[in-house]
Amino acid sequence: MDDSRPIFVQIAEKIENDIIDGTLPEETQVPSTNQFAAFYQINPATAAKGVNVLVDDGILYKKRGIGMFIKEGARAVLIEKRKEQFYEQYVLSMVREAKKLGITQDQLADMIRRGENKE
Amino acid sequence: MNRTASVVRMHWRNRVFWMGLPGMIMGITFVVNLIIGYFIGQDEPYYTGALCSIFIMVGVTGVMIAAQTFPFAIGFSIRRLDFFLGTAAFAVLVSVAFAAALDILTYVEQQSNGWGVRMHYFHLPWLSDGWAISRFWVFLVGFLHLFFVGFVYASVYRRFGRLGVLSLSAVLFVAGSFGTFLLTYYDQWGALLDFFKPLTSVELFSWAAIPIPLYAAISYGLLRKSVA
Amino acid sequence: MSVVVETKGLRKAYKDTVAVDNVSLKIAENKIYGLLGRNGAGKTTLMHLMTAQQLPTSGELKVFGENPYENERVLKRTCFIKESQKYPDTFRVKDVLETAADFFPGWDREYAYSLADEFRLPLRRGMKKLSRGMLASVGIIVGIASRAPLTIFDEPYLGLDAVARSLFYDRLMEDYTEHPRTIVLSTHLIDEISKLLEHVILIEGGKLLLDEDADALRGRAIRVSGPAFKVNEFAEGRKTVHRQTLGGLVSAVVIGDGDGGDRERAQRLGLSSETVTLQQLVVHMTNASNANPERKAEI
Repeated sequence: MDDSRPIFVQIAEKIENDIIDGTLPEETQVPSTNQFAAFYQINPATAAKGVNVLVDDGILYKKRGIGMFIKEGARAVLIEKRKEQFYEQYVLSMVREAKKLGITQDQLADMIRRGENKE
Repeated sequence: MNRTASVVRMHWRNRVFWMGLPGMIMGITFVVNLIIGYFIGQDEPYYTGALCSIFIMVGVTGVMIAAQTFPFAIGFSIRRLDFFLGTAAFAVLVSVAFAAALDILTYVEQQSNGWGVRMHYFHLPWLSDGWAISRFWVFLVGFLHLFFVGFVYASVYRRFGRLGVLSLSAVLFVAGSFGTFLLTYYDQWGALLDFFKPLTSVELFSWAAIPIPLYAAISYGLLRKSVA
Repeated sequence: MSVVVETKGLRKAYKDTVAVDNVSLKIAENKIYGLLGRNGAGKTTLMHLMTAQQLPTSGELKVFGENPYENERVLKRTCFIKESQKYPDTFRVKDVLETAADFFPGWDREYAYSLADEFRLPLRRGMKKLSRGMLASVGIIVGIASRAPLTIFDEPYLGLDAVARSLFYDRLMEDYTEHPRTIVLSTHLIDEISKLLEHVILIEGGKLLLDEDADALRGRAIRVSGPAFKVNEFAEGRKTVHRQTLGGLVSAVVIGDGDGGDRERAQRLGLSSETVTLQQLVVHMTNASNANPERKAEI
């Protein structure tokens, strides 16, 4: 946990990442608020806030008396959301930086291809 | 009320301080006097004044107990009132226990011909006159009086610090000197002695019992505004 | 949400200093508060007032809705663990734990002894013979095992090594999760406990400087650096709590909105930026208030 960003945001992101990479498959139960709190040594109220963000976003739902579960289709929703964030966080700043250095669109596309081959 | 009882139990856990030390001091002076009594022979009865050691120690307990337990108890969420009531109650219990013990030891001393050496450690002229019950009363008042005088001093310290204690001592000293001066000036020493002379120990100690509730009230009034 | 402690214009003055100066705040039920500030800022006095161990000079103070002074209903629901706690000379560790069992209605005896075991406390050793760390452990055990609805710790870890401190945080959080209660942690080791806090109260010079949700503070301030005129443009209309210059370069810690828009704006201006941790924010705010004692920090 990084102390320079709200912890509830970081908890929500952790769960999202686990859903996206399949660690937490759809329709399975996520750890309880208290388990999160104990594992990351954070305040349970803060952990609950992170989980509730995902409930509000329709990613998690509550089974009464049992706990929180991942909604069917949650992964697709999250991937869509992440793509949008990817555009805002990486593409926009990349384009801005490219402009500053006088890189053309073709050159940029070329660079992306080169990067992909390397991976 | 049950937190007053908690304070009493706290003092019971501290019983070494309350009873162990005074008892030990008395025990040591007793043994020392017994040895002296053995060596000086048994032609004459041997009177010691060492019994006062336990009374002084109870007075010292009154001075020390607040420093020992008041900040502890207040720090652990006890009301000042409960501290005061519990402490006063325990002081009464200790005084009763000590008075009863001295009563029994006086009896043993009488029955054993002064521990076999004609020593008068517990059974003293004037002080021990009368029945066992009157001796008990004399001892009890003696302990309570000294304890609460000590406790008033301790409470002044808790409330007003070192300066308070010094001021009180100064005031008492001046008042005492002035009283002495007046008695001398008006030549009343004889009258004062005449007043005390005919009193039995029970009578005198009954008078001495009267200010005890006053000391207690003063202590509580001071502790009420004291900080941990 | 019910309020456990409420103060209005609370003030405590000594002969030549004002330790607590016009403090108004509310402490809500079952949250964990960090009471932060430098040594001598007035934290300890404030806690002594809340537990009626000292009496305020003026102002209003309510704990569980009542005046705490000589109030049994309030005091038996309160536990204050302080570094300066005194113990009777003849008491052993066991005597302290047993007395605490008697004083605190919510005491869990079995749990207290299991904690003593974990902290490796010799139960039969006299309190006078304990090391500083052991003394701190006794306080910690009393604080946790008392399960008082209002539990206050004043720098409870002094003398404890990192392992024992971590054990303290673990056990505190564990027991808090099972038995929620209001906890106030006064500390200057902010980094160590910041993740445990739900709310932060910062005082400096006896005055309340900050009273905010902890998570809302994380990332609220950012450090931007770049040419002076650009930094000035960025900081315009915002509070700057720290400023450093290196030649023509300026680095400034600026209080923002905390919604991520600030970093983007900094980037657009060509400034490099990084978010600031809670600890750094508190340090900067404390320093800023010293430089500018008249102004109450407003975020």
